[in-house]
Amino acid sequence: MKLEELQRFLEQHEKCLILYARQWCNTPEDVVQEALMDLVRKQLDPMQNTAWVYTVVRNKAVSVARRSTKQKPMVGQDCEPWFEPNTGDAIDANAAQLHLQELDEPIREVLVLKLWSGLSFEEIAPLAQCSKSEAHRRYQQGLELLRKKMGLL
Amino acid sequence: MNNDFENKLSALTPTSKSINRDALFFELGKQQKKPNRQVSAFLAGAIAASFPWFFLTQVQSQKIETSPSPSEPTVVLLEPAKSEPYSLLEYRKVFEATNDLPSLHYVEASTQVETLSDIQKEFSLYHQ
Repeated sequence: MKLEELQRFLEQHEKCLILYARQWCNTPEDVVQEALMDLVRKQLDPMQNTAWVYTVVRNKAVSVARRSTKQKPMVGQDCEPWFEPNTGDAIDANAAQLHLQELDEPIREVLVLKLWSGLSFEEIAPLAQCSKSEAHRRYQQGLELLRKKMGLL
Repeated sequence: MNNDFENKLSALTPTSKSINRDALFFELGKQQKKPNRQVSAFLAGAIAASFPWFFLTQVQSQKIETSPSPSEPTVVLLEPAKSEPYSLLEYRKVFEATNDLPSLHYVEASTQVETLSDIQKEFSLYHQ
């Protein structure tokens, strides 16, 4: 692995990975840090192993959430903003976060992976532990639910 | 309709505190270390010219090229003892001293380096 490859990967995926980890735990940066350290130690090409990194992040985030005795691993309790304040005619970031948090986890996971990480349904399916068609169905359902919740129907 | 909604959603930028990239890059440097090298086929870094002490103390035999400008990094060859891997502690010292990781560029020599000419050729690819 070369430094430039790692930097390029970070530019593209760092924030998305943290958002993904945030779906389960309240220490997403730590989880992503550990996963990327694993990647470096194994000397894997980051761009060729994107799905692997997401899998490791997911496993670690779920594990952290399970170990947590202070609170349930529920995203609604995470007070950190998920998105940068928006500009122009973009969707309201706070509203988007609020309504995303209200969605069921399996649906929300697919939305996050598709919309912000840019993964294909083929890549999402093993992560979400479902078939490719089921991932697609969850995505469409999630979009519809979000649109309704945000009053955009 | 859905497309427009998707586009607007995906335009939202996830926010986050950054991870510790310095630690990550340091780990990458460790992994790239080749302990069984002949003449430092592994290496190294670009180290700011404003830290000549490092050059003097750590680079004992080959000076590749020094930058005339203090603001430009200098590429150096780290020359460990023949029978020992390069001490990572020395890397750590540099990191702590410079506190300026962007000026450090890990470079992995892809071929065995035997002569000064080989080294110069190898590092000229990376010198900035």
